[in-house]
Amino acid sequence: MNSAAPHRVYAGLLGLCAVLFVAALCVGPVPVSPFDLPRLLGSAASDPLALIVQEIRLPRALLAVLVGASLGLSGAALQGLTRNPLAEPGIIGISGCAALCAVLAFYSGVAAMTIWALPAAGMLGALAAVAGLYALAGARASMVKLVLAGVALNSLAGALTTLVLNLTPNPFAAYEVFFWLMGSLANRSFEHVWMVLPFVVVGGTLLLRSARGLDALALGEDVARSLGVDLAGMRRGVIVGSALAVGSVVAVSGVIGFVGLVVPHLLRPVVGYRAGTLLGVSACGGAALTLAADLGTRFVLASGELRLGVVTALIGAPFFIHLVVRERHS
Amino acid sequence: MSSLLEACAIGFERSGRTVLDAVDVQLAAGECLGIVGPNGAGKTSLLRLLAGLESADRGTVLYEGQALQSLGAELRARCLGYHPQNPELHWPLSVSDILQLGRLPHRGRLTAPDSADTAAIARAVAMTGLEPLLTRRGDTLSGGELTRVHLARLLAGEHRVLLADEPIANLDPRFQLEILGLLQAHARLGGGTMVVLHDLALAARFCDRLMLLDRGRVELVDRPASVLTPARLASVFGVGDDYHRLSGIAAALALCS
Repeated sequence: MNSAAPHRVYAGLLGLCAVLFVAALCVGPVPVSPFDLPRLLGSAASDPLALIVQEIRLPRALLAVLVGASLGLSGAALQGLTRNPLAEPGIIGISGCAALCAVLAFYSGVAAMTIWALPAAGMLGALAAVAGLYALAGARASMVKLVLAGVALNSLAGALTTLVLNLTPNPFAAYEVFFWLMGSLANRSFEHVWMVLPFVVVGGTLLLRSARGLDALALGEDVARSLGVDLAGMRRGVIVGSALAVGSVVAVSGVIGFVGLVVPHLLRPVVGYRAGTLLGVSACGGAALTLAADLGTRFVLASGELRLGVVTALIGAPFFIHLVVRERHS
Repeated sequence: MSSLLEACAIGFERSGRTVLDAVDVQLAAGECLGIVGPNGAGKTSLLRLLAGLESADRGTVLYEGQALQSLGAELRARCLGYHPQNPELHWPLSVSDILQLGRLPHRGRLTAPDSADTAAIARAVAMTGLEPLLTRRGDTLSGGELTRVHLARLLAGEHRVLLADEPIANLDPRFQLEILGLLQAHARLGGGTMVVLHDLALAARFCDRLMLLDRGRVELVDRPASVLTPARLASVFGVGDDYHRLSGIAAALALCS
């Protein structure tokens, strides 16, 4: 397959994001015509229809973009760094630890005190995951050690999360945590958008800066270093960048799996397998997939909504199985 | 001749074992220096140290009289090119994308390839005869073809010094000769080449001097005819007296004298 020029890939994906974004503002229990959007977005929020678009659908669509871009970008970066197409933010334990800390915030009641408690807990968990990774694997660990340490960390976080649920005395709190773990963008406000935006921007910048190094890493660590790549610095940037971006979005959206796996995999042949070029493209693709999956949650059930994490898992898990089967045949 | 790259009293240990001990070597400008020795002699470790990929436990590596560690990663990358013993390709990049990576040390963080990059890659392609393979994907190439692509990547970098670890291991005789010819020609144009070789006859034929390593120590650095004597081959490599004649070393030495 011939690779397309990156600017054409970007144009296609950004166009797709724009269409899905408009759809995200229009589709729902109260349908809105796309032609009414400029008027509804511009007017004061006294009109109930304008209120729905401005205060409910707009922050939700913006969060879908931030969450999807973070997951797609950090998935692509982690796969480039480990040179393992199955690596994902989940795999090295970042999502799991962020979720554990957010669950602890629920359980302890801290989350009820202030809206900032949850993202703070998520980032704390993600940073703890990074610290744990360094403690387990060492700063100069090989890629295999890094992935092994991540898998170990992830299992521990999963077990502890289940333990917390198990010990919750209040069934309503357990119910709340259970649903939050499924991942959703429903009922989020602009407060949530502003909460994650700075961390996604800083984390995303760190990740995008690794592009050149990730390109060179295709030739192995020794050759990449001989070409002037600061391998240790790049590894730090990818891990800290993933922790910031993924930790903050997990705290707001819950665990949304497989976006970081599916998107880079689909787009990799399109950019000629260049790991650095894949980064920005995967951010756009992740945003598009998350917008589309979030739209999907509004269609399927007549009563109530499907959870976004459930939809991405329903897309992602068969895809993961397909990857494993194809790996076995090749 | 001034020395381009120099190792001074290098000592290197790995998990408590001494890999290199008091190794001295100087690569002069214009010189093609071969590193030979039995398996486990420390050839690859020495080349990695000279490339700045490891730091020595004792002694220093100098590039044009300056400590290699103080050179900075980017300048070092422009000066020294490194070809590993087992070149890796982790994603099925196209051949032209692999060659582009060779130009990384010469490019800014965000700048697109310029005419100098294009020209250097075109020269490397012409030298290695890779024109027919340019649009192929790396994973569709044979092992030997891929080795030539990696070597073209090395040449495209236009480094002053080339450090190549077993570059001809899986190549046809024709490409073995061509690649060694290219590495030798690079030295003749004022650069320097240091190459680890197992084929002693080819080492005798293409290298100006040979460095014989044995169990981490320098046995001798001298002209091939002085290094590859039947007696030394027997003592260091443990081969019989007739190896000198049967392996073609004698013929290669006669050819060059």
